[in-house]
Amino acid sequence: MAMAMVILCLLMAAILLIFFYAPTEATMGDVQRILYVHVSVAWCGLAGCLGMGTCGAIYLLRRRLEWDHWSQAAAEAGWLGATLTLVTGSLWAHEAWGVWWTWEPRLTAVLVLWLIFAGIFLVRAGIEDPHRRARIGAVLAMLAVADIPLVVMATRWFRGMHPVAPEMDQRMRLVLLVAVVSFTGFFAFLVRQRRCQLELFERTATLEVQRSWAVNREL
Amino acid sequence: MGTLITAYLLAWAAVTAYVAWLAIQNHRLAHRLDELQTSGSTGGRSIQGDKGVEEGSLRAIRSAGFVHKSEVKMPTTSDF
Repeated sequence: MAMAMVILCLLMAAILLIFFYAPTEATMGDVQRILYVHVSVAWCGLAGCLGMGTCGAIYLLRRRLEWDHWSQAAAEAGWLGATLTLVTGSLWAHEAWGVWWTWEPRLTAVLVLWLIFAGIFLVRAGIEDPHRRARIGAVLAMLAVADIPLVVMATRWFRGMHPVAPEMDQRMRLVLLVAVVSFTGFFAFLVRQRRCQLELFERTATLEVQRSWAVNREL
Repeated sequence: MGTLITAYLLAWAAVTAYVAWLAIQNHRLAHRLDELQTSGSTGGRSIQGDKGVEEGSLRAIRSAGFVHKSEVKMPTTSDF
């Protein structure tokens, strides 16, 4: 509970800084403030993908479901981050470029990441055996990590419209840092809570199976 | 300004939806645990040998994530 309060305070501080401390950008005006949440959730989406792949790899080495739970929890948080990246990016694009969507390299790479997350969820949902689900999920998660360099380097490797590390005022940098730290803390908190929940589901399912075996044996 | 507010409201709505979904999953978990406990204590089927282990596991699950029968120590929308 204390951790939740600290993260809540950090988020509130970040929102206040974004709206009342960060200077208004000369060209885009107030809309530029979308950047603080856009960059933060994009980072969380990529971190979620990296966490999913790393935990998947550890599962393949150790074969403990605990790591699959971490992987799944990170995937869900990453998917939430990727969704918000696309939504906030689309609103930004409408103001900056006059279109909601364009097949620009970085936008396309993030959409691919979003689709990979969704695909992994669909595949996992169709497998009942927990270890088989974890094994296949881990392999797909490790493949998904290959999209991270593509997302990060898309603006450098390909010619596109997406801004590449624009020059920022000192106060803007500070606000962006606070926003990234607070969103990262919040997403990490969500991952931790979801991991606990998944473990409890797993243990409950095991108990239900044990119970049904015992009842059948008695009958 | 409208676009800015929309962006932040959409972000807030998406996060709230995910947290609400987590809370719904908690209720499902609590329901399954209650059923498990009820069938173990009132079913008239004393499962000798397994019962001690099972009740120990139930206690462990409850202490890991529950403060009361159907109340879980997980975030709800009001926590954020």
